Amino acid sequence: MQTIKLQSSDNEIFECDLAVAKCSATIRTMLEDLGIDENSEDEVVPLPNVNSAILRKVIQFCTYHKDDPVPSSTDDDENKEKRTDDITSWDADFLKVDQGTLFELILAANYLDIRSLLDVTCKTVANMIKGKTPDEIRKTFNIKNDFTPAEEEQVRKENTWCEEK
Amino acid sequence: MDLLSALPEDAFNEIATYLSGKDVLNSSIVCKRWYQMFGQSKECMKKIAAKYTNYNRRKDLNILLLSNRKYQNIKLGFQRTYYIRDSKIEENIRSILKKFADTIVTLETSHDFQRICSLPKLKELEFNNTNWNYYTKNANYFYSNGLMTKCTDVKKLSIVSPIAIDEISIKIVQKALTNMRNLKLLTVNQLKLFEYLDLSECHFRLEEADFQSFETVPGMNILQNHQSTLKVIKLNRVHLDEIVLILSAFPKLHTFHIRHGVFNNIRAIDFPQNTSIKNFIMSAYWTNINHARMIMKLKNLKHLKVYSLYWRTFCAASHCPEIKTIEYQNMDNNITEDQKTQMANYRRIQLIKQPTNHVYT
Repeated sequence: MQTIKLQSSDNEIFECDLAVAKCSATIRTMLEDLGIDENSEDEVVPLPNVNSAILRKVIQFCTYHKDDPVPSSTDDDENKEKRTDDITSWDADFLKVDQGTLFELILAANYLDIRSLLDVTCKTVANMIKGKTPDEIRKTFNIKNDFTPAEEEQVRKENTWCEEK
Repeated sequence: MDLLSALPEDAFNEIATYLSGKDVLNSSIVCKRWYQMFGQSKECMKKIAAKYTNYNRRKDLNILLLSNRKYQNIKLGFQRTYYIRDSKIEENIRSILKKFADTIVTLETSHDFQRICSLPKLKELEFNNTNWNYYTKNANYFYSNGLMTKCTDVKKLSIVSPIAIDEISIKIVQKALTNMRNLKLLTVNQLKLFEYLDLSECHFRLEEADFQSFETVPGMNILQNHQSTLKVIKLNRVHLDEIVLILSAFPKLHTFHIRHGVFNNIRAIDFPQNTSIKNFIMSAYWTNINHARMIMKLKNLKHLKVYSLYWRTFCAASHCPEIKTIEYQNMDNNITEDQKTQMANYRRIQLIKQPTNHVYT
């Protein structure tokens, strides 16, 4: 099994399966375009935007999903409201983390360009918003309502002149 | 700052793709920061439409004009069934279009405008309940400044008029179509439009045509010009007893939809021998012997969708050499146990039962 070394922002080195690392389009690009030698034992791929705790989680996710087929998307899919009720039980358990970690995972998935991780983390956040009232959303995300009553009334009026497309 | 606000724009937009319009509107009330984020994200803008239909209420207009939100989808006066040209109303509507000119992608309107600002991103234009006869009386006025003739980059054009369109209006449409080079989907409820329409100067790439009623066979001439690009044709409400399409000129379609409304009197559509139709969708409640004959003629048919599955439907489909699946919602009560067994054992066709609330589109 060919392995590769990844270095987190706090300088921890992770040795992982090359196939696992290549779940990340960013790492693939680094290896292919930047001339990083996959076979060199000394070569380390620096990931300055991901700390060790998050990188460990990312590697865990990619190890589990490394053999998943790549989903195809069509124009029709892009125009539809996407499903959020299809998160597998493994992914749901994996994402039972505090909000800070969840958002760090989104940032890491976005930076490392790992489509499947970005999808499932974004779905999880969307599920925290879907079907909730503004007050329930505030409680979920611990947000203070900084509208004055008049301003909030104005936004609610605006909403009455909008409809779902 | 909350965690969602700290995300980069593309990650935020990714989350927004999973939300409904109602979720977007509710989220905009959470706090000022979220109002900005959800009101101006391109993904959120796709989910909602701004509507302005009550022209006499200045208050409603101000709500739209003073908003910090941006809108891609605008609906103007689409509930009206008659047309009043009033300079004050026009001014109000123009002010809305001007405010959102840089973001408007879809516009539904029962109005046209004497003067209009540029709408550079407009891709879908729908004239709903437009009284075209009004334009006839004001043809010169409309010719030079029509919304349709100015927005030439649209990909989807819909013209739905409750009143028969006359020759002057047809010329207006022709002039507009001549300039719409990117048109891919055309929806009309009056094929009379095309009976007299010379499309020889049009160069749009029509991929889909959705006709709400089918009144005249010569109207199908519009399709002949698009044989190489047309992929889907939909007939929504068929009024004729019998339709015979011109076989030699019938486009090379891949999908054919028949949606019956209150009428269920279509007797036949003759497809050419070498038709390339692979998907046939029939949402009628009843499949009669003529429908079954139509199915049998589709030699390249792969997927059949029907509302009700009758034994004759199955037998007809089994004559199509390429058939792979039949989707249905209801199975006819008269199908015997023996026939059910035969269908189940006929491995070449996969039967797929859809839930009863499934909508065939």
